[in-house]
Amino acid sequence: MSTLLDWTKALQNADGDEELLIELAGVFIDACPEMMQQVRAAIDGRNAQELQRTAHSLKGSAHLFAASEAGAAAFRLEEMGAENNFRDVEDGWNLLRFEIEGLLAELAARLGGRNSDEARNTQDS
Amino acid sequence: MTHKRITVLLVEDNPVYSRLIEKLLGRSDNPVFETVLAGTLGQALERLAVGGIDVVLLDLMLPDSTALDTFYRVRAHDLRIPVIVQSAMDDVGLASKAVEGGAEDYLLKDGINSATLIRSIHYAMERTHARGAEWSSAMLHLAQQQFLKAAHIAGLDPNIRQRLLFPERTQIAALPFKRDGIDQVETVFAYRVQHVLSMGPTKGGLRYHPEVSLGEVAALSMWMTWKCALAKLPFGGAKGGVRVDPAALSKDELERLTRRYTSEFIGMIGPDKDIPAPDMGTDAQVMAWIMDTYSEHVGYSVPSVVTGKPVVLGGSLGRHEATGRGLAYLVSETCRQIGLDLNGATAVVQGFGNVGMHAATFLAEAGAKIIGISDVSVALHNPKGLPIDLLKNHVRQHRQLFGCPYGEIIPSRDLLELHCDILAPCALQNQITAENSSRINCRIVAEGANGPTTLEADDMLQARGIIVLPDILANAGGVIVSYFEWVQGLQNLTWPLEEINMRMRDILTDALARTQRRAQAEKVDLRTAAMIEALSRVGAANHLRGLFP
Repeated sequence: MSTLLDWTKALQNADGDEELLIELAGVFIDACPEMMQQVRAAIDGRNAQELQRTAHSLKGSAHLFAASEAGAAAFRLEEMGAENNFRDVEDGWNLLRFEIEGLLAELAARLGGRNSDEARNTQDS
Repeated sequence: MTHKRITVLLVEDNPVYSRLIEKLLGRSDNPVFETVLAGTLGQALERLAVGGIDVVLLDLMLPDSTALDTFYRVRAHDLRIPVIVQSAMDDVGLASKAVEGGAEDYLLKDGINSATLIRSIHYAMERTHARGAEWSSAMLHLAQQQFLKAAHIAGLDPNIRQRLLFPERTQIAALPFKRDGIDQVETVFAYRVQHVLSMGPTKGGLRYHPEVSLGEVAALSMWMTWKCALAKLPFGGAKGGVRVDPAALSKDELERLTRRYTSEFIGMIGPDKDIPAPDMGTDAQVMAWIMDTYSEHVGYSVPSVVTGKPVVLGGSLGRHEATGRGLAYLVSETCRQIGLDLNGATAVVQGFGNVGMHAATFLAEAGAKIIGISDVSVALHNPKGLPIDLLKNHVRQHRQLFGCPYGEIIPSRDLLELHCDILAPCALQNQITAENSSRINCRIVAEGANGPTTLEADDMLQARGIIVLPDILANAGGVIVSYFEWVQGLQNLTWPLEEINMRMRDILTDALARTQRRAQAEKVDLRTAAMIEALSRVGAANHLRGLFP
């Protein structure tokens, strides 16, 4: 089992539907760069409230895929935002990036060759 | 067959969750869900303005609004559309705050599935619809929000939670009775509701009031359930009502109405089924008529079909003044705990009906100085203390406090804001609100009335360190002595007044102690603690009995 995510648990979060979970992975892979960009922009702008919100949103996605490490890294940044404390924010960011990249790679592998657009198109058709 | 269509406004900025919810809802073919997406609060409000939304699924953390603000701004837009808050596991506190504020439910994002999602939407819409129709009542809303708050904290089984939000059994009758002298039949609406049938027979007052509604009766029956469970009495809650102004009826008309009510609801009541008692607009005489009608119907005397009867018909000593006496016992015990000498303490009592009058009497007997009192006609203030016996004499002669010369007349709204040690609201619901709670100036609030404090005011009073003895505890003396009356009737025994008062005091102080322990353990206010204490008992009983069939 991967340490990056717990697929069995993630399946429960998607009502036991693997096809749906794979579709959600596709949505996440597409949306993630922008979500990460928003976190980065909040850090650069020293916008604590925005950091809290964007990290919170990422954390939610990580929880859905039962990616506990990525979730924990996002939560750490969310807390920094809540406390308006940017002291260790760069460490937090690096950790988050590392975990999210790992998660994205794992999800991409789960998509099993289908690229995310294809995955979405299948569902939309 | 046409399938029901439900339009859901999904307010969520996380695309993964939006897709998940959309897909889960898409699985249902009856009802058919149409999901409308909004990624920001601005978009959501715009879409709500267009109309046609049946239910809102709301994420609180949005790009243009966060936390409870999000909820309140959606709520402010339209009070009638049910809102279900979506919450992450670590935000449950926030979500339960939203539920207190009027959200219908919250859904945990972790482990969501189509069954829980659809069920939550279904129930949220059912509840909103029911309240909008015959159940419409601010009091029922308050009772349900109080219950939901405690149920969330106590982790009550959701199956039982939904069951307890409304009464288990309800009967409505259009009740005709003859008016005096003229050839006129008046028809009024009458209700009897039984909230919980699993604890034993049900118990609750019968109220004659021009504004009684099914919702109000349901709320009162719910509070009766908690009151009985908190005091460990073997009863579920019930309540009855007739939408009529008793002051406009002659004694004969009142008797005909009461006998017709009894006959209309005779299948529901009985000493082992449901036992009415006096409430607003009814008294011992009304109970005597109910007992007589019931007894004539079955062919022998059944005194235990009602409580609060005249003593000569098997009523209990001490029943009439029991609610006020119980309140004074609890105030006295609380004063002892906080080192406040009741002898010489100042008290303000709102209301001079059965509860307020006796609360004032017994507080004064314990040495408290009653510096403010009111009834529907006037509010009186006297910093030196009001002579309760003389006030009672005045009311006996004039029916109202108005015109009584023992205090200065003040605006009614100022009464609650008088500086005092003990404030006892014993009149109406919704008296201490977010608007006036910051000006409440006392150490102890003892709720003789049902629902005098709103949830927002509760939080504000607690933050200021004011002790609130909640209604289901503070006015439980009445139902406790009603229980004694029922027990004495079933055993054909009569207990002396001293024994009745001692037993009542024991039950109340035990309930207070359990409530305080619960409040400390759960870190909640006394009302929530009392509710948790009560509903844990009802929840446990329901679990043990199981579900038939």
